[in-house]
Amino acid sequence: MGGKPEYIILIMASTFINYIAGIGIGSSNIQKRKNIFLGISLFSNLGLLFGFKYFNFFSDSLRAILQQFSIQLNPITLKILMPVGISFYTLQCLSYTIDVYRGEIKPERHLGYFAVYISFFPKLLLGPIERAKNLLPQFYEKHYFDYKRVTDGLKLMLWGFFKKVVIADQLAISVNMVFDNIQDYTGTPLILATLFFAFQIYCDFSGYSDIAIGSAQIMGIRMMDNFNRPYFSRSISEFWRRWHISLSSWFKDYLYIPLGGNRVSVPRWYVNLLIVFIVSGLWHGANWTFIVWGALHGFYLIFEIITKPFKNRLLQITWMVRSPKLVQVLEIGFTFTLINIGWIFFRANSLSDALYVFANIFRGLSFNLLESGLGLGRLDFAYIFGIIGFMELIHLLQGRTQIRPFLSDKPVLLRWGIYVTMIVLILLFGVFDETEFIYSQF
Amino acid sequence: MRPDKIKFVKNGMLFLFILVVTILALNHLYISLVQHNLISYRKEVLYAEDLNTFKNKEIEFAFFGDSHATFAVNPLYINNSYNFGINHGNYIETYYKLRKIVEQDNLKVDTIFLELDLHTFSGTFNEPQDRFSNLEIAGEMLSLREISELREESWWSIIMERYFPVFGGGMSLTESVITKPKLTSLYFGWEKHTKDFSQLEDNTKKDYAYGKYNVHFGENPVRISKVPLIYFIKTLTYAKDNKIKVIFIKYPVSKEYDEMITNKNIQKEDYYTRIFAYVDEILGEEFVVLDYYGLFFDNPEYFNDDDHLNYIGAEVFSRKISEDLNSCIDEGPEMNKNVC
Repeated sequence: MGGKPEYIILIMASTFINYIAGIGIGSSNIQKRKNIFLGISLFSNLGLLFGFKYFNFFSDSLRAILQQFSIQLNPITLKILMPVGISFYTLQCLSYTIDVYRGEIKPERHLGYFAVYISFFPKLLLGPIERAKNLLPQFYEKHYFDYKRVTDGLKLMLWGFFKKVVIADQLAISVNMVFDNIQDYTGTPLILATLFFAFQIYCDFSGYSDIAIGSAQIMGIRMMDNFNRPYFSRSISEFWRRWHISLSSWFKDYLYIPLGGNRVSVPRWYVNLLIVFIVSGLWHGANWTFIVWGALHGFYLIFEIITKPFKNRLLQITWMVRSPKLVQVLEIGFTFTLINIGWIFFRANSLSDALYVFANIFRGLSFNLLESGLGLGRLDFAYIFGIIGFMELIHLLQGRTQIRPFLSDKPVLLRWGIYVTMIVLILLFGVFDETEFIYSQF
Repeated sequence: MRPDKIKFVKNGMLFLFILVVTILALNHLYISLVQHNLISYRKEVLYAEDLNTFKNKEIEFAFFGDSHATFAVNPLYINNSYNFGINHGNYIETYYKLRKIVEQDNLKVDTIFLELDLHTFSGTFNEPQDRFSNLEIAGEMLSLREISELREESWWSIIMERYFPVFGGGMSLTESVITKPKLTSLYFGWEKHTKDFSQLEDNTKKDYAYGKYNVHFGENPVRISKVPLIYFIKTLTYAKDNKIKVIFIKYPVSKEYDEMITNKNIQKEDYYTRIFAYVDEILGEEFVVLDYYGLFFDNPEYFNDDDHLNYIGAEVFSRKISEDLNSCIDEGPEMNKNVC
């Protein structure tokens, strides 16, 4: 992932092409011309993404496949860095031109506002992937200073920093140690590293989203929520309504529905789901691990759809329908386990590493965490489980009430005490070693 | 200004004030409870006291190096000596330490003992971020700007680490508040460690050795890093210019450590040939090498772990150095690398 200054030209070119394409589509009554402008937009955005992100992956994969047939090929490999945020702003550009093409929005005629829509700094690097119909009109509004709005934005940023610096980066130390030296571990450390990664990636990405949404809020810009307590999901389909919402809804609107969604034959529906999740996996990274991760989630969903009647029947037979709380806990636990299985592929450096984890995760299990080989002491474990527990407690509270209005009703001493404590925790327990956001590599 | 803005500025300033006061209090607590209990800091405090005990401000034998030296050399058994070793130390720190001793503390040093172990110049052991772990002490030897260059970190981050060490130090602070710190005994820079490596099971010994291999040679394949080598040369030149004699020591390691690095193809002869080429260039024949690498292969009971001596090993080893020095000196004032 690269932040070379010359890559600004890329985003400028992308902005200009999509601006022209939008106007071209919007101002033409001839369908063929609209198609040409849409084609230009699709070609430029997908071409950019392919060239910078996927070319080497496909090139290497082709070489590997041909090698299986004893055909030696030395394909071209591009020695380029992937521009920062390219996966995010290309999707945003695509959604804009497609929305104009569909007649859902009018094309933006002011190049400056359009450029701000594409490159609005809080969401440029890692989203949320905003839609033009939500963001563009807000740039035309006048924004006055509002004490509540500004302080609410700051509070959200604070929570985001807490999740990123205190939780995610702390967990990253153990996770990286295990996954980057995977052959050195079996059993408990593999389980712990997988579990830690689940919270690391959540805190890392949702932390960034909170910082982005909070900083936009300070400026008076409302951005869409990107996460909604995803690990409390009772099914995989619910998980995808709560995890990286801006991406899930993007794929739903611009890939799943155009493919026919669920208004097709059942086998075709399953194929549609698989296509969407494989493409989603590929969007995350040019590596087979992400493709398998995406496909796995596609299979999870298909499995969920197929087994839903059986599950309902089973609940009735076993009288568990009478204990909805118990069912809820079991469903959350089961879904969380499935998600964690997927995270193994997502985090592993290669498919063989992921398979190594599956082969060895229950080998040499020990319940003595202190001898897990992660180099963590009693206090470290207490701290890690403590901060995760604290975050989940806040999430539970969030399920019942909105935290920020809830805090606003409390006495100033208590409120400020909480804010000071949070900042102090960030400064004291944060990991400050230039750790990047995980999603910045995508 | 609108009332909203006035309220925001007022509340913001008050909030910042409370925050800064809280941070300063915690920082002070961290410095007194954590930083001043660190072995590197305690050594400096004791050294300041020990300075007064040196007759005519003269030290005959000054030992420099990393933890191998700090664990192994007990000055009690070597007449008029001091252990200036620094845990995870390197030649950059050795150079500045020697300069401080001679120029700031006005100590007259007759002979310096420099560590020449297999990992001494390795890339893994000499990562820039590991240089000068205690900035309070390092700040007395060189400027923070120089430290930031040597550490390859921004000046801003060095300033923060120097004056606000509490940032990122929450775990250490919590630990020091809830548990009483176990302080290692020190004597003239020597650290007393009491574990017995021979009591460990064979597999555990191998695990220790593998762990230490990773610390010494792990991911970075460079055997002789540039910056430590430059400072090694600077140290030798400084010693020569100040008429300080130089003796090199290869510290003892356990058999398990040796087996591990042999299995991992860590070159020994080629490495020392390259190092001594530099030494020859600066010192000519004016140095001695004490090779104790395999001295205690059959004495695991002398080790605290796979490559550090415990207090018994340190006594035996220090007596051995003392004897060898006597024999060196007995053979004449002109020291030669073939003497010991």
